[in-house]
Amino acid sequence: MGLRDVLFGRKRLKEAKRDALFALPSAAVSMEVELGLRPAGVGAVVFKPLSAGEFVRAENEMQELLDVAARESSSRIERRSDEYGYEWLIIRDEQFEDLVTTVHLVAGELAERGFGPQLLAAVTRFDGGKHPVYFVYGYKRGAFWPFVPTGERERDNAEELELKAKLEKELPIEADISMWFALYGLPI
Amino acid sequence: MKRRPLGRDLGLSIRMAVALIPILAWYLFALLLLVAIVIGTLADRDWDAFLGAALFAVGGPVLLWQHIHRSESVALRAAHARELAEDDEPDLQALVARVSAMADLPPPRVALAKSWAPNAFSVGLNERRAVVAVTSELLRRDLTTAELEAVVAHELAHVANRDGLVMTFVSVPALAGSAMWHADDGRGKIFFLLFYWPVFFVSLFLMWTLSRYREYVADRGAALITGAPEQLMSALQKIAGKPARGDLRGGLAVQALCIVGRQAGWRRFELFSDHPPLDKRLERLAELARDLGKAA
Repeated sequence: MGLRDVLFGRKRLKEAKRDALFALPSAAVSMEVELGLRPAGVGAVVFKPLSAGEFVRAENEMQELLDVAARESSSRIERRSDEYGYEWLIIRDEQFEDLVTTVHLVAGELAERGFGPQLLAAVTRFDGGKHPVYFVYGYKRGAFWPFVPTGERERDNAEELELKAKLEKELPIEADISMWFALYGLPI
Repeated sequence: MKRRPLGRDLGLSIRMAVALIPILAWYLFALLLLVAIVIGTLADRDWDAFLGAALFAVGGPVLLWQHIHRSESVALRAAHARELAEDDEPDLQALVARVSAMADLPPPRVALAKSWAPNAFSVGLNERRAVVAVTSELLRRDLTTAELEAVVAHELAHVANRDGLVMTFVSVPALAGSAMWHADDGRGKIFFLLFYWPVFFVSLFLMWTLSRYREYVADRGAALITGAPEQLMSALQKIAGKPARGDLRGGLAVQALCIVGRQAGWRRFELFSDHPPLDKRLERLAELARDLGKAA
């Protein structure tokens, strides 16, 4: 952030960095081989809707497009809102690569319509450990971090740090641990 | 497709810059004065005076820095704010974390202030040191989650825009005036009465003016973060509708960073107030609501 932002205040949210998401499929292979973590076949794009009419219209258009995309790629897409007013587009696909592609497509559609700054995160779930492991991709940061919730408001930091240590060669992991935001109560 | 930046307001930007110029001039003048004094003592070979001036040149900023550091905790203590432990008020903390994720800020520490006034404020010179505090009364009011989110987003917009730093910087000329007035020997008072009082009052006005501008800017930031200006509008109406009892504001640098200001006594007049009147803020937010999401 520059001097201009300090002097006059921010006028835009940070634009989404979408492309580093594609590091995920190859990292998933080593997660399975080395850590015994399998993709659970589900992922989601989390975004903050705008209350403006413009956005509601774009959202409706997007819904039609998503239906088409879902039919073509065998992914299933459903929509959920959470208690904080964020929207979750939940994507199910047994093929992990297709899942990631659809996640990217959905985020791309939002960005195409000028709502990239509304993107918060993409989340994918992995099973096989004691607790489900989520990899969160922060669109503001352009990096991943692990999230292992063990209770309503608890997470397993040790497990997360271990995952970071094992995967940081293959996956761009957020270096600043204070930015590893939790997504408690997530619907996937 | 590009979206229009929200609430681009050239008039406001120009007015902010104009208000900053005299403040910058004050710093420049103070620096020049100090340099002139140091050179003067050197020319006179008056080593005692030189030592004094040099000590002031080094010590002044150090003292100021200490004051700033202290003011953060002083402000929290003055507001009877208690920093929350990790498992305290989990819903509030989770909400603050969510909002900071959207604003791309590290989650600030959260504090709860005991007060009969529904309010929220933030302290901290930068985003790493930031503390966002809400009053117990604010949590008691039945704000919806979206409204509470808007209040938190307003405070985080202050943090993102470095308002703690900017307002501290802007408050120094006035602070220097009050230091003169309260100086131990009488010379400070005399200097103040002879020369400094116009500077003092002008700098107070500039401080309030800039503070009002930055409230508008933080409202805009909140609208950006939440994507819903109308939620801040209804939150403001709920908490500013009733007059605040008591004052939770501490040091100079933080009193400006509450979400609603005290509009009692002479602060009823906009010129004397560090917060814009409610109806003007609502008007601007309504404008933002119309602009939100429009194509560039």
